[in-house]
Amino acid sequence: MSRSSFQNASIRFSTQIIKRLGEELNPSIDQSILELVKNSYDADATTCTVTLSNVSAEGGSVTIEDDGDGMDGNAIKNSYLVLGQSEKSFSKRTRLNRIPAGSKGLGRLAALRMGTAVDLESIPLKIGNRLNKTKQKFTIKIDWNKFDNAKLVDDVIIRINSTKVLANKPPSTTVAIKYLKSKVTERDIKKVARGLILLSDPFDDDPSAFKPVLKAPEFKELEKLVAKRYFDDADYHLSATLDKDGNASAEILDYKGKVLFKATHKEIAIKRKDAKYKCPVTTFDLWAFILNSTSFSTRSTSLGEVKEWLTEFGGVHVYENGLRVNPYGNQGNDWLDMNLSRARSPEERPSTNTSIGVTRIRDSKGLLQQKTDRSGFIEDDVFHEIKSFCQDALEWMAKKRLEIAEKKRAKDREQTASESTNSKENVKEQISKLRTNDRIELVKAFESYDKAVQSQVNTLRAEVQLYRTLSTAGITAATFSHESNGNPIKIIKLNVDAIERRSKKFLGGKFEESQLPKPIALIRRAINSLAVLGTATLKLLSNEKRRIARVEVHDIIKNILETFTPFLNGRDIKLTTELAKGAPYLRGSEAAIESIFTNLLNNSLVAIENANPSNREILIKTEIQEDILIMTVSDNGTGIEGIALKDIWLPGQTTNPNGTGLGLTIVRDAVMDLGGSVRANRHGILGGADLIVELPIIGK
Amino acid sequence: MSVTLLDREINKIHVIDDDTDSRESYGLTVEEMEVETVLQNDRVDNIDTFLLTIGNQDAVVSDHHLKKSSSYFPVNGANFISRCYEKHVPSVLVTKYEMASYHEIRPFKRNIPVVLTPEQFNPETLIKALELCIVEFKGNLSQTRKTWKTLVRFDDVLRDDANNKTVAMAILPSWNRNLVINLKMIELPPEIQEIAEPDLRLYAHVNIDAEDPYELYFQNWEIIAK
Repeated sequence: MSRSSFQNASIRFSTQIIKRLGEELNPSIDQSILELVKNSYDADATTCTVTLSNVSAEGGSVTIEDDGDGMDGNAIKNSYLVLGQSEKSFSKRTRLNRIPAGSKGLGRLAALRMGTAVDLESIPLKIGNRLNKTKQKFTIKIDWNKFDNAKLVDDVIIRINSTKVLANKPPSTTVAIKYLKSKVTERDIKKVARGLILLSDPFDDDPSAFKPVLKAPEFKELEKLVAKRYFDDADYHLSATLDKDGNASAEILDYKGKVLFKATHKEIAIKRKDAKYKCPVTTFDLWAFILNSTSFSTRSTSLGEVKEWLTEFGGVHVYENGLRVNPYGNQGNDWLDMNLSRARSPEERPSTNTSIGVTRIRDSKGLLQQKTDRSGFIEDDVFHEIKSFCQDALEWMAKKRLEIAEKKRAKDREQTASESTNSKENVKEQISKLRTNDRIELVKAFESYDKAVQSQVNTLRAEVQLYRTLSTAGITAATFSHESNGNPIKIIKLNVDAIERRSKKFLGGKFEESQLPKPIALIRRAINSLAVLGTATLKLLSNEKRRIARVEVHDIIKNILETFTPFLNGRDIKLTTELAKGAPYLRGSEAAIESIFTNLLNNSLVAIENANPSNREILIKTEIQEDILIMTVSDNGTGIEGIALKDIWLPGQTTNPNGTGLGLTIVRDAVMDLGGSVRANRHGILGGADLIVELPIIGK
Repeated sequence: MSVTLLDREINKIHVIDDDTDSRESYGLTVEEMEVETVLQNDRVDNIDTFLLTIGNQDAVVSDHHLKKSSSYFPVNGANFISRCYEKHVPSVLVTKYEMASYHEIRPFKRNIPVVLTPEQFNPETLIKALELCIVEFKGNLSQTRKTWKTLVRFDDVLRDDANNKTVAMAILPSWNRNLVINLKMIELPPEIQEIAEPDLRLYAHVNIDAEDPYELYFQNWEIIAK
């Protein structure tokens, strides 16, 4: 008979795990402190004070003191010191009917590991189920160095001491994290202050709400700022609600709180075809501000104050069961993609810098899950439903605000026309009251003036119409450029390449002698020429080019010429560039320089086509004279004929039957915007026109 | 049918493009390599599931813009090629390098050794590109792809009408002190976006031996303590 033996074993943890979990889970000091403050919230504290001592260098301390229900020895042993397990349950409420913040204890570990030692003191309201009438205080000391020296987590014993305190001492808990491993910067302190202030919905009016405090001057400043509550200065207030059945409703209120628009679920959920939102009860409030000096000129608050407040607290904050969820609404966080929507369609949409919002979620079933590292919710279906609800409400508000803006525009147009007619009638009436001789003269003078004004109005109208037509042409060209530049040209190119390769394979050495190389080369040349249309149009449209910044003129000229080269080659135009030495630059927009140069180039192309010389030539030349860049575009086209030189800059003036007459007007306006000047020679260096642009530069 | 690239046998190349004609056209080029050409004609709902269908003797060619037809692909080509690279599937991104797509590609550039334009795309360039991937899978990055910790200075930070930061105009003195690299805010980690301002100096790991600005990529941003 054989004998068997056994021994029991269990999985144990190296003390290294404490280090890893603690240090790697929590992102920053403000988040660490917030974790501990959330424990105070769960303990039904009404006040919680955070004190930072000597933290400007290593070795300082953080103390968190609250007036919550405290913990007895068993709670410390079986809950506080147990990691990864939480006694908190979403179905349970605290004594003050709070839904616990639901930490797994890991965030707490990270917080406690900020220093090398922790002292915890707690006077509990109850010991077990009985009131703590004997006023027992429970204390523990954690020395992390002991863990660093021990092999297994269980090897370090933590003693829970119990002592008696004075009978009038109320329940409380104090956690002191000592000998901080790193210093706390001013920036960190500001983040802690901001985190504490925003933790329990300072935008709500509940005076009994949990209000943690940081003992630091930065906190007071921010607290004052948050208390200012400039909500009444908002031009629009969106108030949207999602009920327990997933039905949405919303209102837009004006600054007096009067309802401007109301929406039912059907109007808000239009994109999702009325489908209900599958998420907990949620409210979404957003205050949108029109931040310009005109709208603030009649108010008691200044634009600067509101801007400062919005810079600090703007964005859409999220509160789950009364406590803030990081990082939604932090500076730079745009979880509802408001800035993206605004960039796509800027009119009447708020951005995170021009609005402040609060999304309050009552999640009594714990449907939403926060990530372990406290960097927001796990982005599951429930979260996406809440996000969709907020975004749909914003979309509805944008539509409604656009309606208001459109109505105002129409009214302004009507009003201007009627004001003009009234004024005219008024002048006529005043004239009719004069003596006969004076009246006749004045009537004549007024009629002549009126005629001139009408003529000017008609010219402007025609000009506006021309700009509209050109804009439409531009938009259409851009749309098709994208399409043609993307697929059709690509497909032709790939297939011509394939035909060539396959023909070579099939014909071997006979390919070059066959009839194929020439048509293939012609198709390639046509593709290159065609591609310029798309590339040139699309390149002009880039948003960034319209920003004011340092622009290097030579680089822009070179880029445009590179784009145009296949087109110029296709028209047998010899292009010569003589650029001055150096890299002259100015402060302006790339788009302005492009407008100048592209229009001058287009002008030359048309002039050459009309003159049709045997050798087609364009010369681009730049010179630098002190702080002025002189750019000359010359060609051997028709030159400037049949029009007064001074009139070539006027809109609509052109000698080209197919031209718009706007190219040189745009050149003049763009040059003037850059503080420069432009002139022309009827016949210049190459026989055609010379267009000479002078631009002030700030460096070379 | 298979082809051996370095020491790796490739017998299937997947072609991804949301436009049927483009897909077919890329396919014509791939066919000439005499491997099985698999045109991805069906829509793909889940990248992880799709990646499971790609074996270790497969390669991938993908266009960058995959959103013309709705719901063809859940991510753009750069994102997808980067995922293939992580799985050690040799893969090539094909796109016209427009300004917009450049900003979309750069965050994934570490895992995209080669980007070909449609003009450059032919059997020879495709083979070279796939071979380069295989070399990189063994940890051998070329000099122009290796990153070095380097100083980055924001010359200016552009904002839109609503005062939101949009673009950081970055200068890398150790690469080219005269050339500005426009980094869109979405390309930067949130903590850098938050503090981005003119004259801010930071460290990042960048492949500063790359000649073309389109080849640059940025990793491990680090705030320089004041």
